[in-house]
Amino acid sequence: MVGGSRVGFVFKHLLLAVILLVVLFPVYWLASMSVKSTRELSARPPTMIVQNFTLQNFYNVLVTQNFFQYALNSVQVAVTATLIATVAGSLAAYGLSRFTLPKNMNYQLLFTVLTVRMFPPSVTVIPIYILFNREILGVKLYDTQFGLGLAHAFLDIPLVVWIMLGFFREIPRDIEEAALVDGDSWLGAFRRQILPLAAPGLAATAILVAISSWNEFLFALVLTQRSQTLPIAVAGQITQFDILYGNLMAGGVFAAVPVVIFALLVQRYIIRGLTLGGVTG
Amino acid sequence: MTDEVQTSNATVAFQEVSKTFGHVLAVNKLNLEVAQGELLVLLGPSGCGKTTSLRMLAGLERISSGTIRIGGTIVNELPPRSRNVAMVFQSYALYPHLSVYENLAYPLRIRGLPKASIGPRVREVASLLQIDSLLERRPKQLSGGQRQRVALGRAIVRRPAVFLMDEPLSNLDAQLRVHTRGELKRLQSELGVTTIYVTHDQAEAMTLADRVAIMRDGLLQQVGPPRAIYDQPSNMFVARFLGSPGMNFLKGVLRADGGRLGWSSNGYSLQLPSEWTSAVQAAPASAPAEVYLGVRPENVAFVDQPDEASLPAEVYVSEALGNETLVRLQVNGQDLVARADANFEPDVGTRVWVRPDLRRAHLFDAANEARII
Repeated sequence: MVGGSRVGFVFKHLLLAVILLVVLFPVYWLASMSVKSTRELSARPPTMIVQNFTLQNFYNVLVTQNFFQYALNSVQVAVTATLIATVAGSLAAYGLSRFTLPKNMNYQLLFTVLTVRMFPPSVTVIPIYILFNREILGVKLYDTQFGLGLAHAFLDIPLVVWIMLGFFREIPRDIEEAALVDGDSWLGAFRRQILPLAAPGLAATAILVAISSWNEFLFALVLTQRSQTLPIAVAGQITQFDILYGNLMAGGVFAAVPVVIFALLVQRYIIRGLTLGGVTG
Repeated sequence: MTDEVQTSNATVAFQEVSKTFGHVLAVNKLNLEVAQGELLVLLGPSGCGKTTSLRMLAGLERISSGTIRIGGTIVNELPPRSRNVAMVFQSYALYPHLSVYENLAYPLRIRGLPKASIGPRVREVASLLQIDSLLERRPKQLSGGQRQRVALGRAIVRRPAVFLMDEPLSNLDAQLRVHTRGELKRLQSELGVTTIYVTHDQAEAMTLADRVAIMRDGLLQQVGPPRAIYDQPSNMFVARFLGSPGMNFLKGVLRADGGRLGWSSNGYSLQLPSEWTSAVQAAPASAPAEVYLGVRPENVAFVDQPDEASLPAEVYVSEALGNETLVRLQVNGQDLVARADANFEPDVGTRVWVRPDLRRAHLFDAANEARII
């Protein structure tokens, strides 16, 4: 460090340590509670460090309650949501980035897309529930992984449109025009030139959608019954008689671990995708 | 889309082509024909409609009215891919995620050429442009000049009916630009492909063009071989735009005394050549009218003694360029630039006498800026 005083150095690191503590303590508390016995969990004052290590809680949720099935549901929902939201959202963003509609419609459309996020989710979830509970064209979407994925896509399309719009705007028009003159069609130019160039952004956006779908609670709660996702299963440990803290914590760890691992694996893309974007030169 | 342009080397014709953006008339009834194998330069300041014209020809911009033909086929409604044109963009527009080889192969691949014939053609073009050692690289790893060559190669590899070039040299540094200009000229004449080249650089236009078309505010001003336009500009805009520096204009009035035609300004006058008399009398706005005397910097001579063919002037500043000196003068409050010998470096404020070479001078009507003589 050039020019910084020793006091400043110590202060900065102290501050960092405090912030880290605040951020990481709940995570530690979750993890440590998940391996405590029922008796230790109810100890007063609570034990900071695990005294009697046990995997009983994990056995309860993974084996007895078969959380793997819920995890599978979550994966199906997240994949569906990600596919639909990124495909539809990025096509919309591409259109908005390339064509100027009359009467400032580009701006109006972008704003309209955003209004989806302006309603409290509890307002939109009921009409969607009613809609999904009807048989439309012989299909009922209530309590299906696809239905919930579709609902999540609906929630996340605005995010995709807004993020991808920035990426598409950064890709020079010259490149697709060159492709057009070179003999490509609009769709071909999109597929062969624009998509590869926007790939880092698309990857980052897809990851964000996947994580948001994985963690989503309210829609999952209302729109599913048997095909519940992990957050609902975890919340299910709070029963009308008792709060099963151990199961709750073990379920929470089980739900969080895949996301953490996934995020660590792809953080390179998220950061590159959201900060760089550029295709200059 | 019934027919595509098939010809490998074609004529181009604009007929009454206009383009409006909202209320802005970008191109106004353009009529222009380009012969087979010709290199036509569209020249003009930014915003004159030259790039729009090129983009309409490429199919990247719809035409508002008129007809464009390539090789006799009307292409108004044809998408870019069916027009059989190749374009070099100002930004080069290389595909950043593809290697040089893949960039060159792209137009052939899209057209569904068999792989076996793509390779040899790419290599042939690469060696023609001396980029064969760069084939594995990405555009990012190339210098400006190398990128320019790849962009050129991507156009050539197609063997299109027409080359379209949109200021292809403007992103190169001065030295490389002059060098590449020469290469381009040679390449075009070797390949013999009809070429339309857009630039705002008059030197590029003069050196490259078989014919130059000068545009201003969407209107075509003049078309012709560069030398002819330089010598016989149709109006003051063209005269000012061609040449560096452009033509000088001295405002004055025409007088006819004793049957001889004269130009005078602020009490100073010049006898005009007698053969101009009839032309001036034929002009619609007859004397005495306000006119501009147009004379190019190289046609202004410095004289030691005042005579009836010279004007008094004061040196405003002199710029030594090494091989010559540009002397900026004030003549009765009007600007005049003279091209002088490199050894001639007068101090600021020096009083001198200058003699415009009237045999090479022109007269312009001050009202509409059109050339009278």
